[in-house]
Amino acid sequence: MKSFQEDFYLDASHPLRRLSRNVRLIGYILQVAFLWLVEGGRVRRAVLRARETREPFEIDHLGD
Amino acid sequence: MRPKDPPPATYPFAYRNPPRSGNAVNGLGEQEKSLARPVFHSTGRGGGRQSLDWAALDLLFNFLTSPGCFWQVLRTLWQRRLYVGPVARARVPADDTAAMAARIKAEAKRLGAGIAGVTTLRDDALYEGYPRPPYKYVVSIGTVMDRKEMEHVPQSRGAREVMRTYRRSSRIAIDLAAYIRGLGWPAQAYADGEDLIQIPLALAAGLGELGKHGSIINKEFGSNFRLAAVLTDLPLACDAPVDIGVDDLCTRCRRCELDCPPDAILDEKQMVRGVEKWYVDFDKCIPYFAMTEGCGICIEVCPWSEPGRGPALSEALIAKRRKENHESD
Ligand code: SF4
Ligand code: SF4
Repeated sequence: MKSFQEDFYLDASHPLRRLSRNVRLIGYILQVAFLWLVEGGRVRRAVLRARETREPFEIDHLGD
Repeated sequence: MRPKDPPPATYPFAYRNPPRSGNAVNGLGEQEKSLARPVFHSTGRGGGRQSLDWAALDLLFNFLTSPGCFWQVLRTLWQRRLYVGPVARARVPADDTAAMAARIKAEAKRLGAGIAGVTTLRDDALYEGYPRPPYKYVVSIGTVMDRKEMEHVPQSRGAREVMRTYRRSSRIAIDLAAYIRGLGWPAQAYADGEDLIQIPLALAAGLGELGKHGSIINKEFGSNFRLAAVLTDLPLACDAPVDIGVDDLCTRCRRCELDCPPDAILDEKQMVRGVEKWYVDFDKCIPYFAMTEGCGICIEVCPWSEPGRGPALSEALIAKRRKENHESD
């Protein structure tokens, strides 16, 4: 396995490496945007509601 | 300036199981010198995001971001792919390190940085357990925020300007790193919360001094700027830390302390991992910081941040200190 990696090592500046980095980054950004759109709205609403009713919104489950 | 209608420090959220105190993680009261431990923001590349004690609040902070801020965050993320790149084969000699440092700083300013300085990579900028970046020198750069926008902290408008400045500073770091690689020397941009602590680097690079509010104060721009860095192997002459009289004022002034809604700013220096320095109570500041999209009241109310005031203030403080020292001799 090690020799396979050595044989096919691509420098960080290689176009294929850059392409794979871009694809991974696009995937990550889409994931973040999707989460923010879906979860962000829910969380913002919960926080606003909690501000009005003064019943604290529990954040523990967010880190799970 | 005075903050406009900051929300009171009562929180719409609560922990069922409160996390370990962030002050304990930060090493408040520890006499031994040691590396910093990540607790809140981190890309988690070293230890894994989930292991951070305050990860849940960090996530909440991200979800509470307004659309304008979030758009800036996405654009900054997209820029991340440019932090590294190819190094030119022909290497420009750098025997005159002072001339090279001046050239790099001039280029940083041409790219839009307000201030730039050079130092070496230091241990106090690293997190425990995270890989050490493989570079020797650091170009620390400060990008100035629009003061008119920042007068709106802690509202969304101020937060948007903060995120816009982080995007701009990451772009400047990217372009500066590319410029250095064009000279034939390896260089990498470190911006936007990469796992490197920017303030100790900026202090060592002479960008300013640490203020009571826990942020860096520059003679010209106060605390109204954001940091980024370029790490490189290009040999550069280093700058020395500066003394502009920040401690002289902070020991007498209480502006940030009084204006901080959750009373997080401590009025005396604290021992933090073997170094005595100004310290902000993490457990009080961060929940308010999260609720208000990044707060920022303390850095904007600071007299140093008022445009045009810093140089005269520094001169007066240093002159006063000289006079006092002279009288006591
Ligand atoms: S507001 Fe006053 S005490 Fe606070 S950092 Fe600025 S000068 Fe120091
Ligand atoms: S950022 Fe933190 S320390 Fe500064 S005013 Fe806001 S809550 Fe206080």
